[in-house]
Amino acid sequence: MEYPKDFVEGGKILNLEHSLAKNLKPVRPDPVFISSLRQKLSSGPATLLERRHDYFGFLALGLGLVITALIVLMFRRSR
Amino acid sequence: MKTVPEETMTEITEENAVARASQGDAEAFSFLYERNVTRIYNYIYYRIGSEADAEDLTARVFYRAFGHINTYVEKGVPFSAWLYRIAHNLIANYHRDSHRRREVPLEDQPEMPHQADHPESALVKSQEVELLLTGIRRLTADRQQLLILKFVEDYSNAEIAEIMGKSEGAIKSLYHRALIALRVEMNKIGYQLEE
Repeated sequence: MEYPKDFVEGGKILNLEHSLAKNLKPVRPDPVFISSLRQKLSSGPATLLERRHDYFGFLALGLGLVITALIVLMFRRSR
Repeated sequence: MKTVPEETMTEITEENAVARASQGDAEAFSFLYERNVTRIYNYIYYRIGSEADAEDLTARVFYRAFGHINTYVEKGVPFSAWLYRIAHNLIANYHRDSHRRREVPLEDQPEMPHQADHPESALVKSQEVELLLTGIRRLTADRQQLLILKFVEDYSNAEIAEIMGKSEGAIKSLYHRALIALRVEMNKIGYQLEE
């Protein structure tokens, strides 16, 4: 694959590569996090709570509405 | 995690670590963790730009990997390739989460407390870096992955090909397309490369 003519002619590709090489450096994770995770991984079965997806929220909301409607209905019928 | 009796202990190497870890060898788990945790963290951090979320996803990668290490199939590629694939999938899920997808303009980002401990403080905090990261994160996932593996992790094209499950030629081609796309994105966000 070839670069667009102006891209190469302007030396922009070299500049972009240079900029990437200059600026993208490895970062050092927090040592506390590293040792804490090591500890958790080595201390038995993984028990990581997964975040709930949105559909659980909608499901709970829908269920709540249905139950509320049923209660209101039953209340009205009982009067 | 079980431990292996001392008499069966041999030196842990990249080649035997996975097999030993799948048998519950704690030392092998530790070996795999130490060799890979920083690079996986870096990959995730550069893809999503949040220290807290990078830590969360890094933890998930290792829980998932170590929890399913029995299903790992040796295909002659580094173990890290499997970890990167797990990370790649978790990042895709992360981006699908609508709550997290909202982008905060760079100028609106609060100053992080404890800057000395924050990874981004290890980077040169210049506008050039921020614009580059913004541009990179606008690329497709495979282009982002390639640029991060090449420039952050300093992998060769051959190593990247192994990790990404592509040929070396495909990686070269993808790299060229990534640079062109990045240049377009950089222009869009107002970054002009010097000629």
